[in-house]
Amino acid sequence: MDESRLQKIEDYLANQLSEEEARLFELEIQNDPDLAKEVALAKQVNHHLSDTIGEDSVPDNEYTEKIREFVQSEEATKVREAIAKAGKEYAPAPKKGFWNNSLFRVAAIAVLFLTVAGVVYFGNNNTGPGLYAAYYSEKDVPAIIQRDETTDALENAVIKFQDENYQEALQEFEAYLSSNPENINPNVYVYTGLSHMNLGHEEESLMEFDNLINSDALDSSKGLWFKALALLNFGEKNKAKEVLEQLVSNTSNFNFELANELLGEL
Amino acid sequence: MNSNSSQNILANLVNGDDRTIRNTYSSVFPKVISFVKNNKGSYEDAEEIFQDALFQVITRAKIKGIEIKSSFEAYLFTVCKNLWYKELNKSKKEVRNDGVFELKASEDKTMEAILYQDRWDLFEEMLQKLSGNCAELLKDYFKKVPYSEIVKKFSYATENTAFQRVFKCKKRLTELIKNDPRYRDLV
Repeated sequence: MDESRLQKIEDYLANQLSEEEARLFELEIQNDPDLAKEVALAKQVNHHLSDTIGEDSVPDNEYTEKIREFVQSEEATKVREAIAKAGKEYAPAPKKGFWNNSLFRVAAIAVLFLTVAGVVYFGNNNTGPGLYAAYYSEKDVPAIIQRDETTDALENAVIKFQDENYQEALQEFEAYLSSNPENINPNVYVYTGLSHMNLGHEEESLMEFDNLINSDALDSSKGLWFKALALLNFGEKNKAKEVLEQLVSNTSNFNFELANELLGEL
Repeated sequence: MNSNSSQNILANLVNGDDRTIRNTYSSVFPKVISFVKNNKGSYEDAEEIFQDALFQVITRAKIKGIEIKSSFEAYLFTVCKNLWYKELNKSKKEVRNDGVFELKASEDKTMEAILYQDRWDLFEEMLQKLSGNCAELLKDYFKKVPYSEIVKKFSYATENTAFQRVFKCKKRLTELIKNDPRYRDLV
């Protein structure tokens, strides 16, 4: 295909043809299967390069026919069953909406109460780290990656965080924070605060949560919740209590009810 | 993990080896959970994506064989990410009808996902074959990095030079794709 033709395809896909030119070009596409294939390929390549998802089309050819046959076969059903079986044997899934289910919630609180009572009875302390473990939930850690943004670095950092590789996660989060000083997602401070906490850096951890608390983010009170949990984890129960009291001073703050419960424990 | 061991894992999966399926679950699924949960999804979404991705890879390997150049773990994770991006992108307008319709919809979804991943693999491989800075230039251009920045980054004399280079790089990429035998399966 000559270059002027290819240029026209690019102009068409970039909406740079006039309305009339575009209409005529679309007529050509309809009547010329080879041109239609060229346009479809150019469009798919553009989507690939821009990391976006286009409309899907499944052509009719020998390959797709084979896939269809296989997908409908008994063999495919067996493959799916084997995968599902491995899924069931994998560690049990956390239930959806655990904390929103009042029955589970009552049961969990009862278990927590009995555990705490047992610990006290047997002469141990109702430890800060124990309360931290009971009240920390992965579900509270905010999602920070969004599609269509340059978030590769952030994505890697989050994966390292989830893999408990806190040292490397911190390096990547810090690189993100220093490369986007004007446009920081304040929720990143939850990750940096927790990473420092898990590395035993008390002062740095608390500073990160303060950054979130002092930000103008709508859910900046999340910082109070995580700061209180981190203090508990560091065994600073009195300081944790002060932070929780600050949190429960406003009913719209994050985890208001849980914070009240936790204060009760303290 | 090298490409040989990736091909061994793939062969075991194609042969229905339960242990390999379980090992794959343990090595890749936790990453998928993290990724999906951090991208607006739930544990259940992650499980569905992971199982569909594994099924898709086995299906493609059975039908025409696939060559994995990275580790199997990294490849399957990429397939999972692509599936989740597709899922996030798909129209909210979901038609729910009788069982037959849903079965058909599920088959179509599998077909679309397989074709999408085949295309993704081919395009990505051909991008790596481009010479010079073509791949980087194309990605910057299509991600709408301003011309002024592209000119500076790649040391072009003018914006027009940059534009001409983008055009030539994309033309070359398209030719490489069309000349690959796998392209025939995608049209």
